[in-house]
Amino acid sequence: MEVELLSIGEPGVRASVDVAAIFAAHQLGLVRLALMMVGDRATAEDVVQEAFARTHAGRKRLRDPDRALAYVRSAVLNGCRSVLRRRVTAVRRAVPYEPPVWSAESAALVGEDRREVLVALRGLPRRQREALILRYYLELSDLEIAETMGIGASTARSTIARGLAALGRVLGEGGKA
Amino acid sequence: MNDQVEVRLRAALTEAGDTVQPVTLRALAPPQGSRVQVHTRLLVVAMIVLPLAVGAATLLRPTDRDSQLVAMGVMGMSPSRVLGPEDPEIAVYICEAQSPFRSCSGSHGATPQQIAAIEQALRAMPQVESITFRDQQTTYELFVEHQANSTLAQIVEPTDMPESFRLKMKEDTDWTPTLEAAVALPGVSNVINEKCISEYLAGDSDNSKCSVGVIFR
Repeated sequence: MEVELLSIGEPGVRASVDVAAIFAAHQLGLVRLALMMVGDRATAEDVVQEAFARTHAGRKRLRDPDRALAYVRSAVLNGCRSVLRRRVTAVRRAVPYEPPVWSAESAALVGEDRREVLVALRGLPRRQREALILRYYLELSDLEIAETMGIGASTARSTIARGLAALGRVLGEGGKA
Repeated sequence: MNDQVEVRLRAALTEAGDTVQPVTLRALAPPQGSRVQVHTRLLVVAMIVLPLAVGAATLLRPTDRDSQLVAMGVMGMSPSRVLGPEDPEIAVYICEAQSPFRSCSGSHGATPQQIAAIEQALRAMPQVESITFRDQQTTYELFVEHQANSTLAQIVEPTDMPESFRLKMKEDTDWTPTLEAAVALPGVSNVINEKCISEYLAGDSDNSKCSVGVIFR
């Protein structure tokens, strides 16, 4: 039996990416991204914290540092999906910790029009909602959105187009009724 | 037009985002638990799940920050398993993502197509009587069960475990062709003759002949 033991700690074999540094640098943006998805800030911060804990210490070492941010965004997106899934199944909390950002009770959001848009956005299918947020909040390219969501670039493109059209219909603007 | 929708959407998202300001942001807590790198975890798992006779001294390099864990892995290598007469004798391990084995390098784990092809190839072998598949969860449960060292059991996760096909072999056949053909299949990390290991533990055999293809990258 031949056993070669070269790999442990050998430098250069795999580029290491400091997940902690990425989270630190992008925490605000990630929390905001999560907020759009889950609605309230406390949950959004939890999601980011959890994504950080899970991806830290090379839990999933990235071979390509250029893709690190996309990976971290995906982790946050997945965290949001879990939260939303849990909400569907779990018993609602008796007292909401914080009203969702799109709710009428939310003091954080002043504009009625803003609220209307967010409520409409929330009503879209999950993929459309995610794609629209990644495009119109983070201003990501089709390719970046595809990577973050784990879908193809052309799918990302068409999802955005469909989402935008659906949003327009709900808001009573443009397109078919 | 959609232009107007885009404008409204951008404005709404920006305003929603602005409700979170940096000064009020809750600080990220330092991550809890294991700081052990996945590669080392998988290496340790590989050493225990696959009972390899790896020279412990070779592994223990004091400069390695994970060397203590590796040492635990080496200590955990002496498996307590005794093969029963009904147990499958051969284990064909499947490449998992980030597998420490060279035969798996360059891949992100065996694809479903590869796994299906492996099964098909194994079933076609004349020396093989029957085949079972052992998934990650089952492997994990066995691992934890055999692993008295709770620290290690806490560190590893089901997804660290390799999947494997278990082959029940026909008696009085030469298993060597099976072992060699199996290890050459794409998506196979290595092949272990567990009967041989069992005999080795009983002092009847030379462990160096028990495994095929074990080369760490």
